[in-house]
Amino acid sequence: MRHLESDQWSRGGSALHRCDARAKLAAVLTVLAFVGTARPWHWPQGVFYGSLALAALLAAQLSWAGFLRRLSVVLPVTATFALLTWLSTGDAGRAGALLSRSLVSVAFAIVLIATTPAHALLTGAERLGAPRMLVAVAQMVHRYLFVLIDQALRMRQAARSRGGFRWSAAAGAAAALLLSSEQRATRIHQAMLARGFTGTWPELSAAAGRWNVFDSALAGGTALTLLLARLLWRL
Amino acid sequence: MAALVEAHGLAYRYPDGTEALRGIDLAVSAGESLILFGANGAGKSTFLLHLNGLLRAARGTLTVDGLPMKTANLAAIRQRVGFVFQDADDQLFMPTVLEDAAFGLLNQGLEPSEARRHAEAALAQVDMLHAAGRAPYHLSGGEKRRVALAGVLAMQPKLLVLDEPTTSLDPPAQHKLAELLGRLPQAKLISTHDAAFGQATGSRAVFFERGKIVGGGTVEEIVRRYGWAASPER
Repeated sequence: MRHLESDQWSRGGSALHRCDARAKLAAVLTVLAFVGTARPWHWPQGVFYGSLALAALLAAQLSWAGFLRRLSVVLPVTATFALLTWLSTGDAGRAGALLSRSLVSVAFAIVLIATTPAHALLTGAERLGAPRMLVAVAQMVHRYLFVLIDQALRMRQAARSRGGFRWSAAAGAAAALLLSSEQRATRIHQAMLARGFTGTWPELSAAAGRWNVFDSALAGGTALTLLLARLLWRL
Repeated sequence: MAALVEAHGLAYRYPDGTEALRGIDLAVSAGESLILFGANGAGKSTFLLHLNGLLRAARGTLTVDGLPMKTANLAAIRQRVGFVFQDADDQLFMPTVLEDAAFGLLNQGLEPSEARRHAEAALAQVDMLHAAGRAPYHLSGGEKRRVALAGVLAMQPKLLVLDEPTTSLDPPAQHKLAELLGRLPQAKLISTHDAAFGQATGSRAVFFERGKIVGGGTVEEIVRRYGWAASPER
């Protein structure tokens, strides 16, 4: 199961990893709200929020290579939008602001995802008031998306062993992929039901759901710092 | 003594019209180990899926530990019936072995510390405690099977249901699994094509054919009567 590989990253031992998912989620949402509403966005804003992202990255003790690899997934998209903005308006500053805003936002999102296992993050969202149905759907999408990828990789292997993939057979292969994934997903769902799954992912960590002083410091401290920076220096 | 599992006239038809079960009558006592033999598509797996309500019979009755199979009893029945699926990869979905073993316990509402204690005990029972922190996908086939077993043993079921447990296991892993099952006190219902494994783990056997049980007896009798041994003369 390849998704478990990606989950390993979120199981480090840093102080940020140990924080409650709700605190991290609240802090990141606050940052994103401030980044999105910062007017104007010039280099001081970029440096300020970039420094905060750097601090979060260092606190999370993440690997630089892994972080940059994930950032590079988003970079082409944001760079394209920034380039289009520059070409259509001729305003390089606006294009730069768009690019740096996006990168800072993505950096915070990566730190959040990299320090919180997916199911803990979604459970945290539910505890913060996100609709249960929405969270359950997101959990299932996360689980089954990787079933689909896993199944596609198996089919690719089978196709290669018989001479490779042909585009002319793509539609049939896609249908077969969906059918076999559906069958596999049914079996996984049965296995979950057989062990009493009720729609909520359980958390083994004894600390799960317990809010402590560090969580308050993270969520409250982030909000206070950003508010002061906005009021005092318009950041 | 009342039977742990009692099925009377159990019938099931898949949505595509395939008649998978055509009147199953079967009783399983506490502590016994029953082997289900039969060709592919004979109805063994379909029957097993009824035992914790994953499939619901169109006709007939089924009781598990005195509880009739109905929606109100599902949680209690699933606590009593531990199901080990054919493909361990389908069953192991949590990020670490320990979390997977604790999955059912947490669903039952146990406190995390208590669930961890039971899960660790179950992993120790199948000699997999050393792998508690590992990701399940890093394990070998035999190890995955034992972790899947630990996941259901942790819930302390009265009945263990194993669907083709030797699939993709090498002979040493099969031997180890048979030994392990022999040590467990629970009643067992094991569907298998492997006559030797059935003989090593079962006290009684039944033979499925086209959705019906057509014979019952000791494992040796059934293997002989239906030519189920993997020998050249079969």
